[in-house]
Amino acid sequence: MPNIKLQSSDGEVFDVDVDVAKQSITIKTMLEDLGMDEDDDEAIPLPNVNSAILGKVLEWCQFHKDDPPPPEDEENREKRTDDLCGFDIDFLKVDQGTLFELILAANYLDIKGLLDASCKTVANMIKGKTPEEIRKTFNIKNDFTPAEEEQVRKENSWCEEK
Amino acid sequence: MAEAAPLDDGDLSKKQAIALKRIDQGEIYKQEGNMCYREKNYKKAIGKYHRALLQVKDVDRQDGQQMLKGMMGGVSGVEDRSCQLTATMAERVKELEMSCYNNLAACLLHDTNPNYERVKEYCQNVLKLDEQNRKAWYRQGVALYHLKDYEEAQDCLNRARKKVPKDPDILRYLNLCKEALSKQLQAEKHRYQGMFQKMAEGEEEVIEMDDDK
Amino acid sequence: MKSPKADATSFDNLAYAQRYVVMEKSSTRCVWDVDWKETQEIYRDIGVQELDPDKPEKQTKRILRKSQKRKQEFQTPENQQEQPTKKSLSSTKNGCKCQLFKTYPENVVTDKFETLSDEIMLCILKWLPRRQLAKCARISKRWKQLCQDESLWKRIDLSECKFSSETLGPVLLRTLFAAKLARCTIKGPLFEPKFDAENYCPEFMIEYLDLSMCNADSELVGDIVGRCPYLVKLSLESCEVTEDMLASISLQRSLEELNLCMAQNISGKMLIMAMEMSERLKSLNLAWLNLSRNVISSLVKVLPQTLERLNLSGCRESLQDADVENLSARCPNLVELDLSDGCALTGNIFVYLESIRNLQHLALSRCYRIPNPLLLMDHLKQLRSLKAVELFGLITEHDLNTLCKGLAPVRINTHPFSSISRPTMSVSKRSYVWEVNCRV
Repeated sequence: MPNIKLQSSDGEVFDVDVDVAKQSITIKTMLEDLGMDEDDDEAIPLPNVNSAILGKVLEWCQFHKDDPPPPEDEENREKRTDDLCGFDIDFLKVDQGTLFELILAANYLDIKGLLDASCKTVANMIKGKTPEEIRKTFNIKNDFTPAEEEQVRKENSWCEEK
Repeated sequence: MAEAAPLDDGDLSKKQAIALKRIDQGEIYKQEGNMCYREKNYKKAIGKYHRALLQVKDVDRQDGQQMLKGMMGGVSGVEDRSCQLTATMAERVKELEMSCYNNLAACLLHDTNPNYERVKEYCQNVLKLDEQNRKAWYRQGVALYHLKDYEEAQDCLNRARKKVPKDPDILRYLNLCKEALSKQLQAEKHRYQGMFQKMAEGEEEVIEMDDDK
Repeated sequence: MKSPKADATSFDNLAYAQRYVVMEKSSTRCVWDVDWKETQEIYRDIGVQELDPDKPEKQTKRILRKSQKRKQEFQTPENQQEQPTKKSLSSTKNGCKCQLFKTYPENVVTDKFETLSDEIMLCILKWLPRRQLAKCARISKRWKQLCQDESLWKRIDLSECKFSSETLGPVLLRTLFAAKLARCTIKGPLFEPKFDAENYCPEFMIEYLDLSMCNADSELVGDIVGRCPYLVKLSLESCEVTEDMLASISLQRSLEELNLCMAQNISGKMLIMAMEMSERLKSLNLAWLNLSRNVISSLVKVLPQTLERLNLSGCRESLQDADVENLSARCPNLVELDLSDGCALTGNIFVYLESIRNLQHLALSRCYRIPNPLLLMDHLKQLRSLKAVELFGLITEHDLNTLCKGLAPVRINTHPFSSISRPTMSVSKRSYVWEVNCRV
């Protein structure tokens, strides 16, 4: 199995199976451009991802390496957030910091499955909460004046009743 | 770097310093890529250009943890990542991306069996950053020619001509397109002639209408 | 060196203490025999700061642990939002007037969303249902801007919601494709008058619009329809349909499906005009409109020739055999035709229906003057493309069996309700407008 070397921002080198790394479209594109060559064994630096996160990302990719490619966002498919597989649910039971880092890494490396799963996880943390609860959970600063906030609430009052 | 960042603000200039290092490293990779290209080592050049792009991708949202670690020796939590690039830095990033995508397209065209769709994609990336880029228009035209989209190819090639109307490469491809198009036209003419003849000879020809959805 | 933000009185106190060695509370106090200025520097280096004696616990400035060349306190835009660490140790008991600040607390409490670009935020927000999005708009200014991004509102299912005045307009403005507003209660006007004036009565980009059974002023409904020049599919079932609305409809250039079933008070004249001007209509539901005989007889002569599905049920005595003759000649491309409850129709219509070559689905339920279909089995057989026929109220159970055998594989009495132009029929597809799922 051909391997590829990925280097995190803090210098750690990960020796990875090409099939695992190809979950990242960024890496896959590069490998396709290079053809069958292994690119001289020189590591590929990924300055946006540190070793802790890169390790986790590769763990995810390893587990999902035999998955079929994720379907394009079908227009008519209902967007569900409760369909994460068991592995992903456990995998993403991490502190907020790590979760957001994973989102950023998945975006940087263009790994759709991981990006979707982690975004869904954050969405699940938002669902069902009031704005105040969401602010508390994520420590978001409310920069509305009371009058402004009331205005927004009024504009969107239709969302409250059922 | 003394541009824009208030010297007093320790954190911000540190982040900018890291961003700067990445941009510098990106440019080094690009130069190495250019050397490989000149030596006709196209595969190696491709590797260098991709590495350059990875350096500057999302450089305005860099790894805050790395910086923290350096100062404190391991800290969890995410510091605010965003880093305001100075105007010069932003310009360098843009130039770097344009060069790399242009050169990648050039490398791919040297392949024995080029991936023309990929060439087209890289040219479009350049044109998003600079819609007047002559090389990108030219290479996109070449790719489209090979993908048999002759009219679009002509359009791109003509755009490339704007600044250098007599460029021999562009003219050559424009001719190729013209020939290909006229061949296509001939083929269609024959097909219709056949049809009309049949109709004239009394055979009923049922023409299927496309189901427009 | 700039002075710290602690107020001047503390310095005075210190100077005073230094000079006059006040012992009461500060028996353990060290009096540094270095310059006071350097004292402050040293304090800062080790991460401590003098407590303001007047406000012991209120100092909240963060101080960098590593010694800085600059002596001022450290404030960057990023940490302005940070809350003071709870782990401060301060004690005035033993005269120690210092407060220890942990400089990089273990749980840096920042807003993680600030680390994400708008593009990534939208990747998260797209998983939220619309109501939650609307709630989230209150969180902060950035959230409001993102929650109202057009890309998140292409299709909306806001059935049964209640819209107070001036709230529906902005929502429809950002809905780019499909809006399901069935059974909503809407109070006009759509926009604030000022907004409307400033923006020259903005149009909506909506293509699929479902206003079935909505509880709203006809003027308001007319306003909504009038602002949608790009409609492809429209349902106004059970709404009051005014002349203005029909005028708007007649101006539509892309309209393919129209549902006016049970619309109230509809003007026959305007309806005829709307039909004359229609260019692309494929599916039309005009059931139970209480149209007069004259109107129907004129109407069937001007129906769009592009029609493939037509529901003219509920005409009772107003629909005559001659009308079916005209209709069949006018719309030869019909695939589905519903003439149920046309009590004046007789068996003569089958001759006319034979000219509709592709007729696959025919409904004649409760057309009581049509003779027992067993007698017309031959006629039914002549409809070569027929796949299903509805004859509810016309045949007995026993006859049904005979008919099924005789006409097999044509399905008989399998669809009691017409689905022509209806946005949705099944419970499982509740949030659909025609083929588009709005709950995405």
